[in-house]
Amino acid sequence: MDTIDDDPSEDLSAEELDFDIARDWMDLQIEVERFTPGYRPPTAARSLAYTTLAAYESVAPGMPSYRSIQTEFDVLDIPEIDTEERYNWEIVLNACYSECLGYFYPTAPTAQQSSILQMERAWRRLLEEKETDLAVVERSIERGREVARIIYEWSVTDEAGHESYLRNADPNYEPPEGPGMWSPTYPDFSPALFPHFGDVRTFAANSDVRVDPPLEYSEEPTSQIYVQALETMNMVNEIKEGGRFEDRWIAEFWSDDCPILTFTPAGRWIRITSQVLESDRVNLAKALYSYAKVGIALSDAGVRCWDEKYRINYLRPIDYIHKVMGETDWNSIMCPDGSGQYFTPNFPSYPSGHATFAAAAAEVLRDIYGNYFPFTDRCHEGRSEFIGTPRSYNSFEEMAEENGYSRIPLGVHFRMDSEAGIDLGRKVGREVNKMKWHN
Amino acid sequence: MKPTVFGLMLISFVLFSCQTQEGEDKEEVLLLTEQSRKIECQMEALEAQSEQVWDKTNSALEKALPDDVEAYEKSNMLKVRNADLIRMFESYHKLGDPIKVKVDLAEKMDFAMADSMRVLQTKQKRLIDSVRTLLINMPSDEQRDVVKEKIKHIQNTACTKISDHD
Repeated sequence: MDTIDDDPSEDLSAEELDFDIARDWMDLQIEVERFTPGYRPPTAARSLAYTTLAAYESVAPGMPSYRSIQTEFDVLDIPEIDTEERYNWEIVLNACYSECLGYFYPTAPTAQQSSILQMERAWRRLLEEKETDLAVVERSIERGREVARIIYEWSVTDEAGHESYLRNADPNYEPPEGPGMWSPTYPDFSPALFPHFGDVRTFAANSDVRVDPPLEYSEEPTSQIYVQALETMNMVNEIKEGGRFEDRWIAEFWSDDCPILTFTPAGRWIRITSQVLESDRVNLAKALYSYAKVGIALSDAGVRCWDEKYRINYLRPIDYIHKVMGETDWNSIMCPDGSGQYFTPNFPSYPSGHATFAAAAAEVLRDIYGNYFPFTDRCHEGRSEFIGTPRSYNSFEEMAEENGYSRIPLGVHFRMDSEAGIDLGRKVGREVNKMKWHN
Repeated sequence: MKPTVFGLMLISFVLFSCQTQEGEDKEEVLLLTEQSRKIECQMEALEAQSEQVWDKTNSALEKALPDDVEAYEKSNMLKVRNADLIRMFESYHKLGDPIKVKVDLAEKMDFAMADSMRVLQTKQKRLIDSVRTLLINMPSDEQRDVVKEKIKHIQNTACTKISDHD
C-alpha cells in the first residue's frame, strides 16, 4: 500500500495517484468470489462489472481525461460532486469497494468477510493518517458509499442477474432433445448451469451480438464435426500418454475451471489486467478505466455467450466421442485440482465461454494498451498442483487465441467452439470500446 | 458602556457551557471509539472462532479420509476450509454420514458467524462516522489533535485489555 504523493492536502486528481488501492481490492474480490458459493463464471463476471463500474463512476469527476459513462444507461442518476469542495479519491474508492463487496457478496464466508473488513480498515487507517482534513474524509466516504449504493440498486433491477449466484441451476429446465443436442455429461451428469443467463441485462452488447451457426451436426466420419471431435480426442489421448507437453501446459495454464484451486476465467482476466497495470505502472484513473472496461466486457461476454450456448444447444465433445465414435471410456483432463475426477463443464459447447471471456477482455485491453504489448502472465506462478509456469506473449490477442485454444487439449471443446468464442468475444469487446469513456 | 452584572454572568455561562460541551463531546468521542474497538475485537473473536471450527472439522476430515486417497487430493481438500469446495472432491462423496454432518454443521456455523460479522460491521461503521462528525465539530485543532492521539491509543489497545461490558 503506497501513494505517489505524501501530501494529500493537495487537490490531487486520480491521474496523479498510484493504482495500488484499486489493485488490492480487485485481488481481494477475485479471492472472495472463489470461496463464496455459487459464483460460477458468468455471474462472477457480472459482480466484477458492477463493482468496477461503481469504482470508476465514484472517481470519474476526479479523472480529467475520462468521463462518466452513466449516460450510456438511461436510468442511472449519479449525483455530481460539489466542485467547490475537495475530495480524496483514494478514500472515495476505499469506501466504494468496501460497500460493493458487501452488496455483491452478501454470502461470503467468515474468512472472506474478515478479509474485506481488514482491507477496508488497513486502507482507511493509512489514508486517514495522511488526510488531515476530516471534512474531506467525511465527504469522500459519503461519495464512495453513495455511488456504490446507486450502482447496486440499479443492479437489483436486473431480475435475471440479481442474486443469480443463488440460482446456478433451474430444476424446471429441460434441455431440448435431438441429435447433436447438449445434455448433461459424464461423469457427474450435473444439470445445466445458468440456462437462462442470456436474459441478464448487458451493459454494451445487445442481443444482435451473435455467433455464426456451428458446423452442421453429422455422424459421418468424413464430416467436419467428426474430424474436430477426433482432434480433441486424439490430443487428450496423447497428453494422457505423456506427449504434447506444451499443449498440456497450455490446457492447465488457462483452465481456471476449478474453484478448489483458482479464480474463475473472468477473474483470471482481472488478474491479467492487474499485472498489466503493474508492468506499466499506470495511474489510478487509468487503472479504474482499465478495470471497468474489462469488467463490463467480461460480464457482457458471459451473458452473450450463455445466450448463444442455450440458443444453439450444441453437444460437448465427450458425448460425441462416447456416442458416435464409440469410445465410451474416454474422458477429458479437466480439471487437475486433485479432486479425483475429470469433468466436462455442465452447459452447451458452442461457443466456448473461456474463448469469449478472453477475446472480450483482450479486445478492450488492446484498445487501451495497443496492439503490441509484450507480456508474461504470472497468474499461476509457483503452483504445484498443475503447470502454472508463466507464459509470454506479444499481444493480448495472442493470449486470447491461446486461451480459446486451451479448451481443445483439455478435451472440453471442439475447435469450432473456441473460434466462435473468440469471434463473439471480439464483437463484445468492440461494443464496450464504443462507449464514450473519454472527455 | 460598562458591562452589567447580568451581562458578565451571561458571558460566563456561555463560556462554561461551551467548555462543558467540549468536554462532553470529547468524552463521547472516546466512548464511541471504545465501543468501536470492542466491536473490532468481537469481529476478531468471530474470525478466530471460525478458524477453530475449521481446524476441528479438518482434523475430523483427515481422520475420516481413507488411506487410499492420494496425498495431493487430501492436502488440497484440507487446504480449502470451505464446505462448498470440500464437496467438490470425489473422495468426499465416499465418506460416511457422520463426517458429512460435521462439514454441514461447520458450514452453518460459518455462515452464522459471517452474518454476525456483517451486523457488527454495520454497527461499527455508524460509530466511526459519529466519531468523525464529532471530531469535525470540535472547535480547535489542538483539542482535536489531543483527542486523535487518545483515539489511536484506544485503537491500538489489545483486545485482551478491552472489557466485554458495554
